[in-house]
Amino acid sequence: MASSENSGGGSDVNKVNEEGPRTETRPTRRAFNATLIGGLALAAGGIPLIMPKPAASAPTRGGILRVATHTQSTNDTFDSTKYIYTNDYIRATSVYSTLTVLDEQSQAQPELAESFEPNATATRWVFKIRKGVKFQDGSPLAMDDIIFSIMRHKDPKLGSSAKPLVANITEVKADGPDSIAIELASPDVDLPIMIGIFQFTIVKNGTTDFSNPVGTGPFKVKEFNPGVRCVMVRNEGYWKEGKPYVDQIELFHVLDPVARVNALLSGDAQMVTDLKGTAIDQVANSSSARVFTTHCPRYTSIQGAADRAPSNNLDLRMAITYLMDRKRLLDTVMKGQGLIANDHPIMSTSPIYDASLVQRALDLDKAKFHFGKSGIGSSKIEIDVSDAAPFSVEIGQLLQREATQIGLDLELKRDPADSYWNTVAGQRPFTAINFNPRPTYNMLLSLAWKSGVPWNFSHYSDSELDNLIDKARTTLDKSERTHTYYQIEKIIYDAGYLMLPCFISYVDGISNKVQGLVPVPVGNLSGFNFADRAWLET
Amino acid sequence: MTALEPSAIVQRGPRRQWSLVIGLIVITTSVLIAVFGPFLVQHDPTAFVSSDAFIPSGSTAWLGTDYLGRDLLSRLITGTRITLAMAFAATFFAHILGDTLGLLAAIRGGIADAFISRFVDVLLSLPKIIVGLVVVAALGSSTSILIAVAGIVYASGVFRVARALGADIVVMDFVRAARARGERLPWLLFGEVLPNVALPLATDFALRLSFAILFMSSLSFLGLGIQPPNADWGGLVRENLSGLSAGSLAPIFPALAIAAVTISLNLIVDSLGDRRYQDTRGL
Amino acid sequence: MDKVLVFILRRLALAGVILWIVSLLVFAGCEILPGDVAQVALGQYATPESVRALRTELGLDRPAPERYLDWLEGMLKGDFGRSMTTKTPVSRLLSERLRNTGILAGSTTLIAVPLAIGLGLMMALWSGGVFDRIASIVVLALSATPEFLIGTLAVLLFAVKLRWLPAIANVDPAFDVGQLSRTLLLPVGTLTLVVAGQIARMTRATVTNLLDSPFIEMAILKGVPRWRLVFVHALINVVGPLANVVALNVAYLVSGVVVVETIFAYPGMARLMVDAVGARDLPLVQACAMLFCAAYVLLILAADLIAVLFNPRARTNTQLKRLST
Repeated sequence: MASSENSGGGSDVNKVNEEGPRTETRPTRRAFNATLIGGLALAAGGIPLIMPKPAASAPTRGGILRVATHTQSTNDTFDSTKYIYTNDYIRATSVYSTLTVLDEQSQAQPELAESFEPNATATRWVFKIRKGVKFQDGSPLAMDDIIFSIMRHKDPKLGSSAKPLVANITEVKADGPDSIAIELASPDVDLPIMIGIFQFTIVKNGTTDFSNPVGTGPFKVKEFNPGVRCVMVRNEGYWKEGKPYVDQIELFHVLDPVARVNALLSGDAQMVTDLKGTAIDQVANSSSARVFTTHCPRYTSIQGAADRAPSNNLDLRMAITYLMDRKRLLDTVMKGQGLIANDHPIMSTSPIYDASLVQRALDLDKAKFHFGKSGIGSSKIEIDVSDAAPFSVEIGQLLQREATQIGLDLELKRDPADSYWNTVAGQRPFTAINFNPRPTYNMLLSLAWKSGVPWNFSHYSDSELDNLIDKARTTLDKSERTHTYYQIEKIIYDAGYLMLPCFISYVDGISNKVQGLVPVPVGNLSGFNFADRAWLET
Repeated sequence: MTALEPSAIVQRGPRRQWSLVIGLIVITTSVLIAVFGPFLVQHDPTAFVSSDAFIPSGSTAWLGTDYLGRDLLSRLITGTRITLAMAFAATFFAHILGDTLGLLAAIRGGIADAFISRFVDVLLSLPKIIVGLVVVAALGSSTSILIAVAGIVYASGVFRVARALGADIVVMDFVRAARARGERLPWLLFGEVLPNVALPLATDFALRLSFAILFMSSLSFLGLGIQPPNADWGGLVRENLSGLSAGSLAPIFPALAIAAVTISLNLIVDSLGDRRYQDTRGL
Repeated sequence: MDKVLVFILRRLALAGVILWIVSLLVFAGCEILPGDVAQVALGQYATPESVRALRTELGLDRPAPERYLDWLEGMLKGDFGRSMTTKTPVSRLLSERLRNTGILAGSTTLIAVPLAIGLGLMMALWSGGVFDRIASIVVLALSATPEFLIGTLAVLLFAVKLRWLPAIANVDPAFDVGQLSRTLLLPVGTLTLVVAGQIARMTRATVTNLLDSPFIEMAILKGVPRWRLVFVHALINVVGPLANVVALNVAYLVSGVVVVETIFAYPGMARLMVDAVGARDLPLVQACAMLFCAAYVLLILAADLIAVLFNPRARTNTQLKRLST
């Protein structure tokens, strides 16, 4: 059972969408240029950019929204320190609220916080909190609830997955009766984005038992059967007037991809996540449902380990890179639902993407050249792939096929998904790695490329890279920040430990009756945050 | 159960002959394909013949392409060898293990018999497919592990059949006479019992082969088959399943191949075999 | 009659031993599997601290024999323990899945068994005729076809193309009988086809076999009509092996239907165990294994009992002893 978490940033102009105003909005040119991914914040004043959307018909109230997701776990929980995947996040955004939410450009929009401002060095942010918000049990939202909800992730006993994220926060305190001040150890221009992630849902002060979740979100829990079903009903006291639109959300799981798309087409579910292959065509051709694509920097890569042979052989890594037929992967396997990547984690549509780095592609001559130089000869090279990393099995097969053309003995080993991350990933010379997007590129780089961090699956250590990553997070000047990211990309690109062929878009299927969703690059179905956005046409 | 009666065992009549003939034709063809596979393929089974997945049958690919744009027919042909070889190996292993233990238990009787029978009961009480899933999850899905798992899983069923067969033979006069003569275990086993159970065990082998094919293709279907890019028939069904909803027949062909071989094995067994000791599919 | 009682008691005692050995095997098996519940639960995003924290919380830092004995003690008192991944009591998780499996297995059995036996008997009655020939082919094809093909085709035809039935079996406790039937029709139908094929073939085979035997010849000479021969005389004599086949198929319906549960996303026991193994949730795995094992043993016991009860000749000491060993 692969867990999937989400965050990310990006918009894509590659995919032309002719379906009309009801689906994803095409960003205007101005908005696109202003799109900021990762470490770029808009003007330091933190003024949010709101996209004008073409007006659809007015939302109608009522109906039951049935959602079938592609992952399942009996680990389902409402405890934010333990959130790790899709279903946790969907439940979190339905039952709880956060200080900010992410919009289509991955910018922070006000939610429980009406506004937010940094000081001159971005080491202190003040969030002004909305008045009159109540929890589902009637008690009013107090500053202590917010302080508790954020600081609890620091507790080592809870082992929260967000602990590294709060490491930079030194103090959270009330700044007046309805404001919160967050003090940081080092400057962070991205704090408003980070504080809006799912782990920081606001719970009541002192909560330790999450069996009866009480939040400020649009829905209340009616029925919760971990690993099977969750039924949530409208919170009549929700602080957003008139919302949520639907009466009830039913969340369940259909792991089998064929069964899942059938559920959508037969009407058993109004929304399903993760369509693959021919299912995408099926839904696109159907009259009752449509494809909902979200471009995002999610990827599956083949990563070489820097601390062992033969993956520490640069020429071998280069040979493998030039064996990768990225176009075939994108067109045939991913059905065009993605973006070609260039062996580093920044999307080509991002303003911080360095276009001067030559786009790598399938090149048997170069591959042969590097293979010859590598001295590997007839030794067997093994690549570990798994269903735990989507498309890794297909990537492996494409590589293996091309390898036979240059005489490289490449073999695949498909490992079971269950214990892949604990026993295989990063522990063999070449392993498939899947990384889900984060709200900011800087976060992803900090989690995956700094020396010694747990998710640096290549065990790559470069102090210059470490410094550059920190520098990018604390630099307020936009062009200096962009230049820093260019340097980061070049280091990763040249080192060749990350063979990243394509970014994988989120592809969901939604019934034509469902309206109100916007693609948010953090995850499926509006960045998992559809609870108070979605409405059903009658 | 009534005693051995030759007339009750073999079915005669024209219909039986037809089933036998059809069954033999299919099995022989499959074996020939398995043996001569590499010479029969039009394309390399891992080569990409098209940039489109699931194109319908045509001149480039007689059965169309698979989900990655490879020739389905070539993959089906190479898959024949993989499927049949693995199933045969597993069944062989199951029979070596099960026959030895079963016949020994029948001859020896007593505590050894009781002990082994109990242990086999334990193994039988666990659902086969789940045992298969767990072992493969633990040890990986290499060819040898899959064969070993299928072999052990079906050895229990073979044990029961062999023991039942042996138990019936052992009480007969000629065996009792041999024992009275002072004949030792190896003689009893190979000289007296085995010749009389050879035919029923052989039919069990054929039947067990069909179970093994279904079991291993179910494991492959659930994602625990052999390493890509190789695929047995079950794996071919799994990888191309998404084509079904797009109107492609790609997953149907390997599934039909599975059905054809298992049906043929059953036809052969029906025509020739001893019905009384036949195990069910032991799902 | 008390011979039969002794037989039953012996078998039950044996069942206890088998259950215990299975629990040991399952425990050892889980220990050998790579990764433990803390690592798997946290998966891709595990950090050493979070894994350690979770391990301590779940008591996984204690030695294996101690954990096993704790569990055993609980089991003997009737406490299945708590699931390590959801912290809810295992009995609660089990009861709902068990109910679902019961509905699926029960409905399939009630439909498939009479259908299959009747079909098999009819085939034996008119053996060699057109009905027999056609039915034989159909039944053979069904029992030899992989169930994932039957299930997938069924979904494609009835749920997607015709839209008559739902593609996934979403079982809501609030469903009335009508809704439940609609939801279950495809999975039950698929399983019925799988199971009925086997039972029908077995029925036909054993009955036609029997029809060659001397006592049937006697009955024919006495003028008993063929249908009576088949439906009464022969049937009574094949109850033993028939019960055995039915028992094995019911055991399959309870524990072996992973493929069908996957295709229809049906929340049954088989998938629960597979998921529990995947999550390395030991108490849940143990409980499932115990249930499957107990079901199998009890079903075989029932089959043997039926065989013995229907066949007075088998109630001799030697026969009973033979069945007990």
